[in-house]
Parts: sequence; C-alpha cells; structure tokens
Amino acid sequence: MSYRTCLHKVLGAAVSTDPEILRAYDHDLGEMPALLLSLFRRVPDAVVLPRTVKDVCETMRIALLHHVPVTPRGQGTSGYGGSMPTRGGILMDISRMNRVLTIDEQNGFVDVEPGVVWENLAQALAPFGLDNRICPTSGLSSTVGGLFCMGGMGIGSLRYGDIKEVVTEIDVVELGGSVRTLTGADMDMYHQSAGCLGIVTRLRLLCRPRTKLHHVAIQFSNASRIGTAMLEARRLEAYSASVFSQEYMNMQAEAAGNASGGKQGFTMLLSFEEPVWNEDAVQAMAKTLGGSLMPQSMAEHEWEQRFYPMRIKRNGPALLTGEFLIKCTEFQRAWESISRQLSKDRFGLEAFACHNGTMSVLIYILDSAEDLASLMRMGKAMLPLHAVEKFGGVVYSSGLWFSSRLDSVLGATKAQRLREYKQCRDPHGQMNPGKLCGNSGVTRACILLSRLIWVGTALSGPISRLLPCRARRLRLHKEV
Amino acid sequence: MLDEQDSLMQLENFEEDLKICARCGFCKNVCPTYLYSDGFEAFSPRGRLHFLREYAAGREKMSASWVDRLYRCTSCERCMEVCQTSIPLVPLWEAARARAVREGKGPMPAHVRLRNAVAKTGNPYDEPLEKQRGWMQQEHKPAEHADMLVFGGCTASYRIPAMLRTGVSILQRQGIPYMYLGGKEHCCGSPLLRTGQKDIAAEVIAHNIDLINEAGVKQVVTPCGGCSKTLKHDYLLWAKRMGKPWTVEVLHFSEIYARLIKEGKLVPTKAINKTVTYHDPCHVGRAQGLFEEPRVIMAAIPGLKLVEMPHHGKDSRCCGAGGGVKSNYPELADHIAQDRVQEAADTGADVLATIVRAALWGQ
Repeated sequence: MSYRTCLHKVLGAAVSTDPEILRAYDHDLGEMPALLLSLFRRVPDAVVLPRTVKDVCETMRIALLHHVPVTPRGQGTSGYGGSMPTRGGILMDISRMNRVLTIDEQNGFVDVEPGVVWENLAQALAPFGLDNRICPTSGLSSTVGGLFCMGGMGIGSLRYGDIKEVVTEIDVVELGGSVRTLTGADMDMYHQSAGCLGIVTRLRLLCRPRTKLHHVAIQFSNASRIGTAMLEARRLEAYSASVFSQEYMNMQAEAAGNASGGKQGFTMLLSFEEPVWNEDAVQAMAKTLGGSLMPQSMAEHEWEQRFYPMRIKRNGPALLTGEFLIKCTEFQRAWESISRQLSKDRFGLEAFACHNGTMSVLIYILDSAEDLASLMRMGKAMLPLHAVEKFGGVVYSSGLWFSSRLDSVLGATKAQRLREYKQCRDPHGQMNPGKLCGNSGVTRACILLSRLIWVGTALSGPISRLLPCRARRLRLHKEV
Repeated sequence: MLDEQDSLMQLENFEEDLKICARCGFCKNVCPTYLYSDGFEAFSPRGRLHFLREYAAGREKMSASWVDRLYRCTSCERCMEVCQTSIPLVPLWEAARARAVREGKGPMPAHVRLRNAVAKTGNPYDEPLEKQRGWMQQEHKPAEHADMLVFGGCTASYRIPAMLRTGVSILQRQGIPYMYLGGKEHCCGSPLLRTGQKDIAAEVIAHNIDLINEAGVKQVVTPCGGCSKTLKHDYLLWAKRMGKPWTVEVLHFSEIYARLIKEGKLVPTKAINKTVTYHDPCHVGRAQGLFEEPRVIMAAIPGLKLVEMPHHGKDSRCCGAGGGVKSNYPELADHIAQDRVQEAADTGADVLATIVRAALWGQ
C-alpha cells in the first residue's frame, strides 16, 4: 500500500492528494525567480491538515515507515522558503491545529496549538486580562508555531525579547510518531529549526498583563541618533520601538493615494505599557537626542498601521526585501552603506528594536519586474545583507534560501549542535529536506545553491547597482 | 443587451491586482466561508487569488471544483477590509464567476433558477409584476412626481415588507413627497451580478436605469442593503458603460432616518426597554460605510441599550446569506449564521437587531 493510500485510510478527510489542492502549496510569501524555483519539486504529493496530535503522530509514523519527506507549514507567511517542499512528499499544514488549550491567569501563561494566529490569540487572552508579549507585524495571519520554528521578533520584543524568550515549553512529534515535551536547552534546538527536527504540536507562551499602551512618535533628521534612541528606549523600558525611513513613510502615503513628504529623516514610534509610561522622560530623551515630537495623531496612526508594511507593494508592484539583524550601535554605518549600495534606487527602511541591543531591519526596494533585466535587479534584495556584514549584520532567518548562512544566523555553536542533533534524530533527512542542515543529497544541493546565491549576488552586486529599479504605482480602483 | 465581451469588471481588468497580492494571508484568517471549508489552502481567498493568477497566466484551468470554490464566497468584503495591498477582492471574485459563466461552467444550480425567474418575471421570486405593490397600506400615497423615488426591491416587495412599509410610512408622516414605480420595477441585478450572470444583469440594470431616469428624480431610496449597494456602486459603472446618465443620489432608508433624527424631525417616543446588539450587514456596513446611521437611530430610541458584539463595524462578521451562498450552499450559510448568532447571544442582549432582510434570513 502506498503512503498516500495509508494517509487517506488513516486520516480520511484530513488528507488531500488532489493536484489542484497540492499546487496551492508550492510557494510561500516570497516571490522568487521562476528559474530558481524550477530547481525544486515544490508541489507536495500529499497534504495533511491535522486537527489533533494523534493526526500528526499517525502522519509521522507513516512518513518514517515509507521514507517520505515531510514539510511543515504554518500560514506560509515567511519568505525564506522554509515551508516550501523541495522534493514533494507530505506537506503538513498545521493551520487547523489552532486551539487555545489553557489560559493560566494566575501565572500568566497560555498553552496553544501551533496553528494559532497571533491576533486571534490576543483576542482569546483579552477576557483574562492578558495579552501577547510579542506579536510580529504579520500577526493578523501568521502562527505562533511558525514564528517559533522560523525564529523572529516583533512588536514587544524590545521589552520581552524574541520568540525564544516567550516560549517556555513545547511538545514535539518526531518522525515515527513519538511525542516529547521539551524545555530549556532541549527546546532551544527546535527554535529556528524550520521544523527540520519534528512537528511542534503545543507551545507554552508567557503573557503580559493587558495594559493600556501609550504611543509617541519622534522625528529624527538623520540616522546618527537612531541607534542611540533605540537603546534609550530600552532604558526607558519601552514595550516596542520601531523606526521608519522617510521614504518608507512616503511609500505608505502614496500607496494609500496620499501625498508624500520630504526624502530625509526617520520616524520613530515608541510604545510604553501603562505602569512604566513616563511622558517627561520620553520628551527629555527626544530633546537630548535632537528629535522632535510629532503630533499624537501621527503616533496613533502609525500604531494602527503596524500590521500593514506591505501596503507599499502597490507602488511596485514587485517588492524586493532584504532583512537582517544588526546592533543598534552600528545602525548609522549600516544605513550609510546601504544608501551607497542602493544610490540609484528608491528604498524604504522599517526596523524594530530587540531587548538585547539589536535591531531587526527590513529594506524594501520597489520594482516593476517587467523587463529582462529584472532578474538581475532581484539580486538587489541581497545587497543590504552583503553591505551590513562588515558591521556585524546577520541574515534574519535561514529557511531554504539562506541555509548556507546557518552559522551566522544561529551562531556557530548552536548550528553545529543542530547538525549533530539532526543527524541523530533524522539521519535520512526526511524532515523538511533542503532546509538548514542534514546529510541528504537534496539538502547538500540546497545548501550549495544557497551558497551560490550568496556568492553570486555579492559578485554581481557592482553590476546590479548600476541597474536602477523601476517602480510603477498601480492606482487604486477608486482612483481609476 | 451588452455584448458579454464588453461587460464590466472582466477578469482581465484585474491583471494588475493579481500581481500585487502580498501573500500575507490576512484574508484567509477572516474569511467566513474558509472557516467551514475542508481547510486546505485552495479554499482560502489567498488560494483563490493564487489560482486566478495562474489561470490568467494559462497555467491552470477553470475546473468544476475551482468554480465551486469561487462560488463559496458570501461577498462579505472582510477580505477586502484587511487586504494589505487594497485589492478589490469581491469584484475580483465576481469577475471570476462571470468568467466561469462565460465558459459554461457556472453559475450554480440555484443561481440558474434565479436567472430563469428574473428572465421570466423581472424578479428572482418568480412573482407577477402586478403583485409588486401588494405591500402598500392605506396611508401610503405616492406622488405622481417627486424628487425622491422609493425603490422597493424584490425581497421587501414580495416577501418581507415590514422595512419597506416602515420607511414609506415615515416619509408619508414626515411629509416627504415620494414616487413609487411598483409594477414596473425589476430586480436591481444584485443577485445576478454577485453570481457572475452579467448578461441578464445588464438587462435589468438597463431597464431600471431607464425607468428611474424617465421618472426624473434626484434621489432613490430603498430599504434593501443589496439594492442600495448595487444602485450606488454598480449602476454607476454600468450606466457609464451603457452610455446612459446616472446622476441620482442613492440612499438606504437608514440614511434618511438618521438625517431626520439629527435634524430633530424624527423623534422616537415609544420606549424599547431592551438590551440590543446590532449586526452590521456586510452590504450596508463595509460596502456602503453605513456604520453610524443605525447607531444614531438606536441611540434615539428611549430605553434602548446597545451592547456591541466583539466583531462590529468594519470588523463585523458575515451572516452567511450573501453572494448566492444561502441559495446554493444552505448548510454553509447556516454554519456562518450560527456563529454570528452565538456571538450575539454571548453579549447577553435581549434583541439582535439588524437593518437588512437578507441578514435576518441568514440568521
């Protein structure tokens, strides 16, 4: 009996092998060149939509028995290829494992299934006087399990750290179907693992008391004080600190059909929880650093728009995105270097501060992607990553496209431990092949490809720099 | 009748929009029908859009199962509300349905019956036009000529006339002259447009535009959310394409009530000592932006205490009835309606109020 027949027999309607349904899983959020994508067998052979831990266990049992690859997927809201199959097999869509299991008001934690969407979790916690400690800007659709497995930070990370610091315990189903409960260093191995070790089926998250947030927006005329301001925000115990370049603000305004402003400067949005809100201290900080407070309505507006960074895609319509982590103290030098690299382009910057003194930075470059040279221009998304490397900047996540950067993403020690752990737990490389690490031929090929992309875009950088991106704003229908 | 190739809002008009999907999946998390699908990505709005992009590029075919997925949409516009890149998703779904119809693969069986009825009698209930004025009461005395025209709409005229009677009674008692063309009015075209049947929709729209233009009115008022949405938004586009004038102001009755209340001309005196929660119907709320009007009305009623559901205003949940879902997928509609009713019940309110008949049917 084939594994697909086994899956149908055991899991019934939770399985589909309908080609139409399978094809809907051949991509994630990232738009990559078709030539590159054609190298992978991206369409799974079966999709499993588990609703219970038992469903996951059965799938993993069948997968081991039949030596079939398994690719886990949350909502596919990461653009790193982490949830894209590379050699068909089973795709495990965990988005329907989305129950909030228990809420412990007294101790301030919640147990959830991995497919719970961040915003839905916030709504579930609200009646208990609790809230998410962190929430990514994709939080209207992205899952808790997805952020843990891909790694990341978000709104609230300045106060509470990244996802690793919010999750205290997980359950994992391994190949073969056994379930393990993990904490501490054992759990750490699964963080940022892109599901290449097993399927996370439960997470325990620390919550914060649901308190009123105060928002304040500060305008800075240049990049010189941004890093310091981010660190000052941490000293003032801000809940969240984000910064947007003026061009990013312009792109947002234009996407909404509004007029844009000047070209220079940055807007910083700070949010404080009620108990630590100190208006005088914030004003003093802004004054000391040469920033000017913006109208309260502006701060409220930016907070309201926090989930909508990709609105600017309407100005492209293609959006090239580079994402990296860098120390706050290196922000100015990084910005200047990126500005030189992208001197012929219009680009926007959005960044978040984390509590360990780093910033997560996104660079958006708009392009129409309508001519032959656009393939070369797509490489520009990598230029910021190359540009900041000399200042200690590292790629934000690994997934498929940056598997060759695993040491810098995880740190050499953890990366090595992960490789050893992977070899021990999944010696044949069945779990999410092609991602991060493993000894299978496919994974080695994918790592080689990742290396080629990294080196190739570095070498072609001087040429792609000369090819300015051409954006072409699409009018809103109401404007037509 | 318009040549179908020339009809409005064709799929080709959305080629650019298909490119700018950010693939964020915000639409997926709010879609009421996806919640009751089998849960695979293909059933989500994001999955449908991806399919249409592939279809437009010639890499996918309009199969029967894709047509079925395209018809499992209530056109509630929640997906549009959260879309990062402001893609007009509901018009896109409607254009895709129209394409399915053009390829002979749509609409769904219940929608064919609706079309046949409209073709025969001018209304989806297959009622003779002479019954259209049957809702009228003794006090209702339309003028021969007036600036305002009452467009009854099929559901109010033939099935559930209470809101129409109330509206016209208020006009009558306020001394606001109004015309009524009962017996000549055809379906506004909403159920036909929503289900992709644009050829027959074009016929009734042309008929109504001519009828209303000939009346020489400045305003059209209707108690129906679907009619008011269609007359406000769709007629504007269709009239332009047909080369017909369309300058009338279209109002839902709630807009008139709220205006009269604000002007102090309408003062409810009968107390309703109840706790009420209000369902924002999709076609009145998100589609027309009428969130304040019903709340102005309720605030003016003595004794009435409004408690909002967690999902209200722009974030209101769907009742499940729209987009031809209630007629062709009644179980799906019931599931969605039950969710909404439960949300209303959880508020502890005595009354669940709404302002659109279809929404009441959904619940």
